[in-house]
Amino acid sequence: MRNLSAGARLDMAVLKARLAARRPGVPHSLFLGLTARCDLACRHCKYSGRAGTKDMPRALLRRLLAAAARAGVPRVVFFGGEPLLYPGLEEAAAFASRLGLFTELDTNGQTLSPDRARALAAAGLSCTMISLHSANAARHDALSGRGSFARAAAAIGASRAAGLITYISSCVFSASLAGKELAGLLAYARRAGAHGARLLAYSPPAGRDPLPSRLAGRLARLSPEGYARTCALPGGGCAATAGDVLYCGPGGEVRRCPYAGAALGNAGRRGLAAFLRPRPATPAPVFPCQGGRSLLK
Amino acid sequence: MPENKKNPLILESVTWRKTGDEAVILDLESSNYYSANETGTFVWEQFSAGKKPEKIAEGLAEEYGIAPAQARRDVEDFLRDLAKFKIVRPEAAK
Repeated sequence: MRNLSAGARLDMAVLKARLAARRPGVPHSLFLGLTARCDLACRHCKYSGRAGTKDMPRALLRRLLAAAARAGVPRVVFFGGEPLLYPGLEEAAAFASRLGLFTELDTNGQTLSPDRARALAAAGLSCTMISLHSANAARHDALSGRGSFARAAAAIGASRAAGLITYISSCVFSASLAGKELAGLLAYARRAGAHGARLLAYSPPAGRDPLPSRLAGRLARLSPEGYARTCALPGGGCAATAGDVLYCGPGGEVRRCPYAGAALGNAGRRGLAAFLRPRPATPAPVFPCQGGRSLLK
Repeated sequence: MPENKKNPLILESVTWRKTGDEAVILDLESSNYYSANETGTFVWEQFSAGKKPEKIAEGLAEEYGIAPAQARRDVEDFLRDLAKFKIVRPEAAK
């Protein structure tokens, strides 16, 4: 990866070592929904307008982080809502970092100023994933609101300048898969100095859609070196069905991934360890983010 | 945060971090990394603090209850591995 600080490169080395030592049933990433609050109302967002204002209690967050580290989960992803709105985010990053966890921030970037990025990096944050849904400012703004593209683009610069590993994160629709939109987005990400791109297929509110598999196939051609990745696996299924990711929401509810419809239980009541066991495989190509069940209780 | 090096026998391009009982040692020049187990981490911490291999072996024997001769061999083998990976200078393994 280009232009990374020694600290960020060491973060990556520790992550690789911990990924290599991972035991069966232990996900490579634990997504932590720190808050249901958000400062945007993106048109495609499944949380938008439906979520409450609940933040994850700090005591629960610390318990989950400690349990993740004990179990050998290599990476935690601070997720939302918008995790920059969570009070004590820096404190959480510092705590996670002290436990040896690779810490990632999945953010819309709207309030990620240079000062905030530096404070998070100093606290121990390793990486940011900044939402950018198109290389075209008007198209991005049509989804996420006026001015949101410019703020996200500035956040990419702030994140990089703070020495953080910086990715763009984008929601991909059927229409953008067909044309040059996707290639344009990746070209923009490279020009902006992002270290990689994570692309997630939009899941329809109801029914099944082969878009995740089609996206994985398209990325294999567009980005054979792995600059851009998605959660669908080339052989079918996805990171969630493979047990590689797990999500825990603000109230402790556990799902196979942040976008999965069905809840598996509550880590606040049962403890995280109860969910860190090999789970029966879901037949491919069933994606837990599809099927029309409500995302929120 | 990366740990500071105090032993001049460790190459300048090397940085490392302890997480839990294990240390991950990274050569920034080659991007190769070396993950040490608990006893390897014990040896590495002492070595990076500037301790001589004989003293480290004594500490290893005491801490883990192994025979002094075995502890000396373990330390020598570990430093030889690190020299092979260009983490420490060759003279560290002598």
